[in-house]
Amino acid sequence: MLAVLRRNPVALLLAILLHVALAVFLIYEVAWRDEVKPIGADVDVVQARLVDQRKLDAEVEQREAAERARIEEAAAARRAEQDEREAVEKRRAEEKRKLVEIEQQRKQREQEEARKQAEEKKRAEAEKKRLVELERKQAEQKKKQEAEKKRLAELEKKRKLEEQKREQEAVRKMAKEKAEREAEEKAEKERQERIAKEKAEAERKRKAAEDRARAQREAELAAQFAAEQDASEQARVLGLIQSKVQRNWLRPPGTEGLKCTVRVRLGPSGSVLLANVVESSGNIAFDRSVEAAVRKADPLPMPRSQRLAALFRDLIFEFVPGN
Amino acid sequence: MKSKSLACLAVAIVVLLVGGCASTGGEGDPGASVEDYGSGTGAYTSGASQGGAWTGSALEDPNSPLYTKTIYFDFDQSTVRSDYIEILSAHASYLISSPSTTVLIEGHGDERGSREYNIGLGESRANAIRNFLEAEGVSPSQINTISYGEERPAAFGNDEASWSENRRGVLVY
Amino acid sequence: MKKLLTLILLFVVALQTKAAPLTIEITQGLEGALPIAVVPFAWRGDQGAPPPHEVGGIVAADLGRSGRFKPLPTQDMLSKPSRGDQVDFRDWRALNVDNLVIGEISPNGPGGYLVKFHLYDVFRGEQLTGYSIPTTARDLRATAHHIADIVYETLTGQPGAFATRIAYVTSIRGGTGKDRTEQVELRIADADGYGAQSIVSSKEPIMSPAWSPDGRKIAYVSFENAQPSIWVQEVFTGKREKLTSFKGINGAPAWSPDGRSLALTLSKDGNPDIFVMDVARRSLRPITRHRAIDTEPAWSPDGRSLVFTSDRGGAPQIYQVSVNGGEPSRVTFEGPYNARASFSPDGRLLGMVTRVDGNYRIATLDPTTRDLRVLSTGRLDESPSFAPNGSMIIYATQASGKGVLAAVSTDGRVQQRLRLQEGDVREPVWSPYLKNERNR
Repeated sequence: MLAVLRRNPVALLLAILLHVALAVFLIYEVAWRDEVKPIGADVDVVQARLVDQRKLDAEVEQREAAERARIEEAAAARRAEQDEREAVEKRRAEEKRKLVEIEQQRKQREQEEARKQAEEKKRAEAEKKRLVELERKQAEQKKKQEAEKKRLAELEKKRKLEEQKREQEAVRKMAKEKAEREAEEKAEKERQERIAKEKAEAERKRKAAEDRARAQREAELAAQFAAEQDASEQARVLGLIQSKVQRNWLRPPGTEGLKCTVRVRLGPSGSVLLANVVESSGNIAFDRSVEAAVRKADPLPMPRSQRLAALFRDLIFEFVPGN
Repeated sequence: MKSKSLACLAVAIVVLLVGGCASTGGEGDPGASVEDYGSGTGAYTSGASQGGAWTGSALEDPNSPLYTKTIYFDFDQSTVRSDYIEILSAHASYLISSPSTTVLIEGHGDERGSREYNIGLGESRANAIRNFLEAEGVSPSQINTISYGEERPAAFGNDEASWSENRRGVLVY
Repeated sequence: MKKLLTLILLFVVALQTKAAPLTIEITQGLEGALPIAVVPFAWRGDQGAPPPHEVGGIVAADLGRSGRFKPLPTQDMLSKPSRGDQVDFRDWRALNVDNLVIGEISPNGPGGYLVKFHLYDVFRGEQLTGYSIPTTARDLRATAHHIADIVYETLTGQPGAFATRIAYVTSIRGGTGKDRTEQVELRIADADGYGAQSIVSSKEPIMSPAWSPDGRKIAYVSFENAQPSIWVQEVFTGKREKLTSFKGINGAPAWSPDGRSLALTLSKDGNPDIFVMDVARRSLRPITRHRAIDTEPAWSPDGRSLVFTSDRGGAPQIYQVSVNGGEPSRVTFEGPYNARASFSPDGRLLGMVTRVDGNYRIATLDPTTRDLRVLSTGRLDESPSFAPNGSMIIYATQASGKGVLAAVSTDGRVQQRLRLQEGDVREPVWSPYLKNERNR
C-alpha cells in the first residue's frame, strides 16, 4: 500500500486535504443553506406513542358511551327544566292577569262607593231643607197671631184712654190754667225729646249704612278670593294633566316642528270618552302618537269641585314639540 | 453574506478537484421567489468556469439595484421620491438594453378613503414611474400599467406601518 | 221678582260653560322606538310539514332593525293569541305596548301555506289592518318581509324596505408569502343577511357592484385576466356580458334612473374621467375632461345631473355636473376629504364618505342648507348605500381588523352591525324595491 501511495503523491495530498477539510467543517459548523425564516404559524409537533390498539378502542368506546349517557342526561334535565320554566311562566302570567283584574275590580268598587255616598248626601240635604221650610212656616204663623193680639190690645187701650179723658175734662176745667201751663211745658219737653230721638235715629241709620258698606266690601273680597282659588285650582289641574300626557307621549323621531290638535271628551271623573284628531299634522305616525298619548294618560286628573270639573269635560290638546 | 459565499466557494473547489461529485445545487428552497424573504436561491451553481460572479438574471441579483422592484410613495402623493431615482434609472437602463423585455407597473394605495378614488391614485403612481422610465429613454411599447388601488395590499394592519408598505408601485417583469 | 232674577242668573251661568273649551299645550314627549308586540305565529296544521321559518320572529327582527320599533321579547308576553277573538287588550296595555301583531299559518295544498295576520292599536282597542296571504315554503321569508312592510307603512306612513336585497363583496385570504391567495366573491343576500348566494367567484379583485333600477341586473368591475373591466350580469340567470374593457381604468359603474345608461370612469384618454354609456347602443359620451382624478359618478333621481368625486381642487371633494356635460360646480365645502357621494331616493340628501380628524366616516349633506351631518363613528368607514325608502344607510367598516357591514338610520339615531360570515365583507349596495321575487 505504501508503494501505491508513493507512486501517487498528489492523490495522497488531496486525500489528506479532503480529510482535513472535512474535519474542519465537522468541528466548525458552516451554514450550507440559508436559515429558512419561520413562515408564520408554528407547526404542531405530534408526539406519537405506541399504544395497544384494542385497549385504545375499548377506552374510546367507554368514553363515547359515557358521553352519550351524559348528553342524554343533560338533554333530559334540560327538557325537565324547560317544562318547569314553561309552567312557572304560565302561572306567573296568570297571576299577573289576576292582579290586573283585581285592581280593576277594586277601582270599580270604589267608584260605586263614591256614587252611593254622593246619593246619600243628596238625600240627607233634601230632608234637612224640608224641615227648615216647615219651621219657617210655623214661625210666620205665630208672628201673625201675635201681631193681631197686639192690635186688639191697643184698640182696648185707646177706648179706655178716651173714657178717662172725658172724666178728667171736668177736673181739667178747674185746673185749666195750671194744666195749660203744664201742657205747654210738657209739649216743650216732648219736642226736645223728639229732636233727640230723631238725632239718635239719624245716627243709627248712618251707622247701619256704614256697617252695610263694610259688609259689602268683605263679601266682594270673599268672592275675589274664591275666584282666585278657582283659578289656582284650575291651573294646578291643567299642570297635572299636561305632565301626565307628556309622560305618556312617545314621539316618533324627526317630527320636530309638526303640530297636531286633538279634541277630548272626559267623563266626570276624568275618564277619556272620546279622543279625536281635529287638525292633523300631515304625518300619520305623529297623529297616531298624540292620540295614543291621551289614551294612555286615562284617567285624567280633575278639579276637586264639581263646578270647576264641568269646565274640564271638553278639552283641546295642541301637540307642538318645542325642539 | 461574504463569508457564506466564501464557504460555498471553498467546498465547490475541493469537491470538484476530487472529482466525481456533480453538484445538483443541493436542497435549497425550490422556486423560492425573489420577492420573498430576499434569501437568494442557493440553487444557482452553473458552469464550471465562472467563479466569483453572479451568473443568474440581473433582476435576481441581490447586489443589483434591479433587485428592488417595489418603490414606495408618501401619503396622497404620486411623485417618485428622490431616494428611488437611482433604482428606477437602473431599471430604465436594463429595459433599454433589452428591447424585447416588457414590464408591468402595478400602482397601489393604502386602504384609507374610497376604493375607486384609490384606483385613480394607484394609476397616478404607476404613471409616475412610467413617465420616469420613458423620460430616461425606454420605449412606451415595453411598458404596461395597471392600478389595483387598495385591492391588493401587501400588509394588512390598520396603522401607518402597514399603510406605508401599501403605498407602492411594483415593477413586474 | 226674585225668582225671575235667579232664573236669569242661572241662564247666564249656563251660557258661560258653553264657551270655548280649555286648550292645553303639549310641548315635549319622549323620543324613542315604538313598542310593538309580534306574537309568534301559530301553526294550524296536523298534516304536512310545519313551516320552515317562524314568521313572527322575522317580522319582529325586521321592525326592530329599522330602529323605529322596539319589539317585546316573547318571554315577556302575558298571552299568545293567534286569532282576533283570543285578544285581550288588557294584557298588552299592562305592558305598555302600543301595537300588536298576531298571526297563524295553515297548510294550503301540497307545499303551500296560508298566512293570516292582524295588526291592532292596543290603546284604541281596534284592528288597523289584516291580510290573508297564500304562499309556499320557498317564499315564506319573502311573505314575512312583506308583512313587516305592511306593518311599517301602516304605522309610520312610509313604505318599508324589508323585502329588498343587498349585494356585497367578500374576500377570504389564505396562504402566506408568494403563495398568498385570495378568494373574492360577489354575493347577494336578503336585506336581513339571510340566504346569501354567490354570483361571481374569482381570484382577482371585484369592485363597485351596482343594481340596475329594475333589480334584475348587477354591474361590477372585475380584474379577471389581470385587467379591470366592467361587466353586467343578470341576477336570476347568471348570464353576463363584458361592457367595457378600455386601456387603463374601467370603474365605478352607476345606472341611470331609467336603466338605459351607465355612468362610469375611464382613463383611456390619459386620466380618469366620467363618461356615460348608452347600454343598448354601446355609445360613449364624455362628461368631464380634466387632468384631475374624476370618478365615482352617481345619478340624481331625476336623471338630469351627476355628482362625482374629483381632486381638481387639490383633495377629493364632491362636484355636480349636468348630464349634458358642462362646467361642474363644487358641492362640498366642509371637511378636507369628501368622496363616494350618492343621492337619497327623494333627492334631498347626499350620502358620502367624509374625513373628520383623520377618521373616515359616513355623513349626509343637505345641498341647499350646506348642513353636513356625520352619522357613523368608525375610523375607516366607506361605501355608503341608501335603502330604497331612504330610512337607512348600509356601509362597510372595520371591526377587530376584519371588514364588516353596518347600518345607520339616516337621522343618525340608530346604529347596528350586520353579522354575515367569515372573511372580509365590503362594498355593500342596497337593491331597489323588487317587484316580483321569483327564482332566488
